[in-house]
Amino acid sequence: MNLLEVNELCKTYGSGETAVQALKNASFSIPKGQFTAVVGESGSGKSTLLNMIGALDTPTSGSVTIDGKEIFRINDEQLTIFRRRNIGFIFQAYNLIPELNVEQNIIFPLLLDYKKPDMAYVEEILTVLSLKDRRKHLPRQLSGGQQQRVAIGRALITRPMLILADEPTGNLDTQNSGEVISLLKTASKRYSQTIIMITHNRGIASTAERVLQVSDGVLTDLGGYAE
Amino acid sequence: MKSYLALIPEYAKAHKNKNRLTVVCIAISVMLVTAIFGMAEMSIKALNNEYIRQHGNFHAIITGISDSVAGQIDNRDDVRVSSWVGIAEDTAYEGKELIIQGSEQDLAEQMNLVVTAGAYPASTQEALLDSLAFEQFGLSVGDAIDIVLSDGQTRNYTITGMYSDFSGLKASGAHGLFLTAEGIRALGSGMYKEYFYIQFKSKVNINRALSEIKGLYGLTGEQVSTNTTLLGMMGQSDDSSMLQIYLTAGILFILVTMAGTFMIASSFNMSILERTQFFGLLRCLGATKKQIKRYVRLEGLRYSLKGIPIGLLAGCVLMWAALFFLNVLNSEYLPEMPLLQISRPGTASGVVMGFLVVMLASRSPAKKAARVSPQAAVTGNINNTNNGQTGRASNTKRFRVDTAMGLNHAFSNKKSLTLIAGSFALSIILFLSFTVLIDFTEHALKPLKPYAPDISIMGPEDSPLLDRELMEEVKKLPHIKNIYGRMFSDNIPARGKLGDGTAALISYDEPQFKWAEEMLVAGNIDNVLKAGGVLVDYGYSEEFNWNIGDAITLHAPGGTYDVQIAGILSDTPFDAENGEWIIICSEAVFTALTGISDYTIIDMQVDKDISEQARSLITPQMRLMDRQQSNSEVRKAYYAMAVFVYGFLLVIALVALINILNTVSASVSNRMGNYGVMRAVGMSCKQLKRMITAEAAAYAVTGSIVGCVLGLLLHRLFFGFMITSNWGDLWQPPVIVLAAAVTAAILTTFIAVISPSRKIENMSIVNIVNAQ
Repeated sequence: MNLLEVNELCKTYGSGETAVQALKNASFSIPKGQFTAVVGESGSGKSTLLNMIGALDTPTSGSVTIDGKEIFRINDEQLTIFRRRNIGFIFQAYNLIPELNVEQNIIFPLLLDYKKPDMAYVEEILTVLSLKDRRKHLPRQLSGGQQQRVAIGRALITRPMLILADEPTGNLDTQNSGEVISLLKTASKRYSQTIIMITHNRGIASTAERVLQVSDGVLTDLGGYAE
Repeated sequence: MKSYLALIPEYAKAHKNKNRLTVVCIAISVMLVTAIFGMAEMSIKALNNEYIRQHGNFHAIITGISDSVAGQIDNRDDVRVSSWVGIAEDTAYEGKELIIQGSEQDLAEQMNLVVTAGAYPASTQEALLDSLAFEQFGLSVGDAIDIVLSDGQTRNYTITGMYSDFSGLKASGAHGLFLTAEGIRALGSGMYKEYFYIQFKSKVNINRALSEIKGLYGLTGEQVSTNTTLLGMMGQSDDSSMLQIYLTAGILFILVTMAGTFMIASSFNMSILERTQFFGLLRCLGATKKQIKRYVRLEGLRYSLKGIPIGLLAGCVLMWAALFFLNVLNSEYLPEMPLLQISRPGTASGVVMGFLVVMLASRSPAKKAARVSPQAAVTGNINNTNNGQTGRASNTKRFRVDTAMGLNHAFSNKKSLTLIAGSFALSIILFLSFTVLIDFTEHALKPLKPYAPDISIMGPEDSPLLDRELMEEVKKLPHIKNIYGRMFSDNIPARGKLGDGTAALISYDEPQFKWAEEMLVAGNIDNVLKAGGVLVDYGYSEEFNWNIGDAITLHAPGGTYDVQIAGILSDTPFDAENGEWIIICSEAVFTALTGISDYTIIDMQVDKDISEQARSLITPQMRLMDRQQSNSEVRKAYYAMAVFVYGFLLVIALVALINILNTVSASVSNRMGNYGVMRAVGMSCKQLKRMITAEAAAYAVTGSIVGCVLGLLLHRLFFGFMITSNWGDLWQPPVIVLAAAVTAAILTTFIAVISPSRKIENMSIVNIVNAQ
């Protein structure tokens, strides 16, 4: 069963002569539990695609359906809640909340739902991410790799169906990059989550089950990794 | 561009709105300081001129010195004018009281003696006469008049000129004959007293000069007296009540300066903090820390150069408008205020405060901006440095996450918290402190008291002649709001705790007891109404050590009675003559003690002019006093004062409001990146709004608590200085003012959140997240 269905998705910035078509009629679907890499040049439209799948941006036309729900048909408040509960985000710049410590940053989406976190699960995540002894540290007290691990923890905490990662290793060195990707894959397997990840790193893309390429706004499904 | 500093005007051109807010903040603060200090200077000047006009321009009077000592004092470098002023015994001319005085022309002019016709007398046989006397006695310049003094001798004087009002002759209904200093001495020894009047030069330390004179000529304290009021207004008095007023003015000065300082510092701090990323970029491009500091300081200077002149102009206009308004409304009750003058202390304090504060305020942001790491600026995560380092994580256990983070935002940046909450607190403190001035005006202006009558009916020579029937007839008149009568009996021999005296017994009826209850400092009105007790004034109770329950023996016409003090009033509407004790009792007790049952005076408060109808009810012997016009004018004076004080309070409150709006908005702009991330990971707009509200509320609540506590302490202090010491009213917490301040705090919080919430609702999550 497909978790994600993207249909004729278009995004145009500006209008008239200055209009730029960032994404042109992209259509694809991703089954549950698949690890997909999105590759392409800078400015090709990868992030635009990811932002629209994550409902951070609205398309000019087309639709995105996640778990049978067409996300652009629901109102903003409901969409926020849907995103909070069903989509995990990981950004290149980590984007942690500076005034929350490691543990609080991880459970932040649950706190937004005014829910009590399942502490056993929090412990498990902290253990998997090797952050147990850093749980009370603030983001500024962590290294880049540690911060990105916190961001992964935050993406996992609500057990979302879909994790969207926009160049999660962009600011990391090779060793940290390897650790982060391996953690991401382990976690997604363990919790059977679907991952869509933008990357420039061919090595990382080669480990994906499926690769989508975006070039000048046009999406091509490359299937399994092809050199 | 010749220098990197040329970027400043370019940046200013591109960000006009942001700059405008900082310039407006500087201008408002400068305006506030200029207007308040300017007003204060003009008021003191006006009071000073008025006092000199009424009482003369002298600083000290010395008695019992020889002519040679007087000559030496006159020759001192620090003395501007000095002369003997002689005052002869009072006499009469054509049945009217005549006051004979004399001095040298120089000093006479300083005493505001203005020769309106003729010339100043030159010989001992020449004199000036007041202008009213010319009219009343049909005299003209050049005429001679004969004056008989108590030694039986007749002195003949040629009138050389006419002078205008001097030392309130008009008010006393007397006339004045003014001689030369020699003319007074020619009256012969024992016929006059002489005083040596001194006016020092400006900027002389008068108290020090007088101590020197005392030491040099061996003068006692009793020989030297100072003009306390004038020295007080010149800031040179060491009188204790003046020192209290100086202290009050001093504290208000510091508070107003602080309010301005806080506002400029806070706004400037925010304008720099908002642009930390920009400064990081400059660092990234190769700017040294020193260059960044220089950039920020020069930018501050540019703001000052724009903001200060605007503030000064606005301050002067505000001051002129306020003075014009006061002059128009209170031509009779307040001294004429100087119009369209530029106040040097006001302008100077505005410029100095504006410039210094901007320069001081730019020091810390300059350092902060210089510290921004170039790496942080280009790789994102700038917000960590942007908002100051978060020392402690939000308390998500005690509060919901949105509220906890809002509180964390407010409390994590101690400097912003101090500046904003401090500015808020200062506004409340100023609000509470200034309201004491309203209480002071209320106490000082008697017709504003609840018992102030509009129309009074009195018998001849204060005799109890108004019978109860008249009272009933007057009561029937329309438009009467309150009517009340009093019986008076004075010169009653009395004995109190500390000795004998004479008492004036006054009866009150129901409305007057109701008002008296509001002025009760101690005791109980019921004991006056039912148990035959009496009320006394706070001043007497202090002077004679009277307490509740003490007895006063009255040798009244109806026999000797002991009356018990049942209540002490902060103030009574009566001025005692010849030190008589004012004792207030019920009508029944009054009649029992004196046998009198007719009123001495019937007062009424009306809502329409019924003086003509009231006049038709009285006999020719009775007098009708119509105070409606003067009451309405005094009320106008009071309202003008209130408008003036509250007007300033409004400006101060607006300053606090702008400050909070500015800060919350800047804080939101600052954290926009964080908010974008929060939105991306699932925070709703409502939750973000709650977070900002918590932040604004944290500033408001902290400021309100600090402001209320310190404000109440100051209110109590000023109340003690200005009201308890004069009228005995005990301090009570100003509940209504406090409630207004707290309501304003709550409203401000809600207003402060409106614009940032809109900004957040309209933000594009993608742009913000990608900008990280």
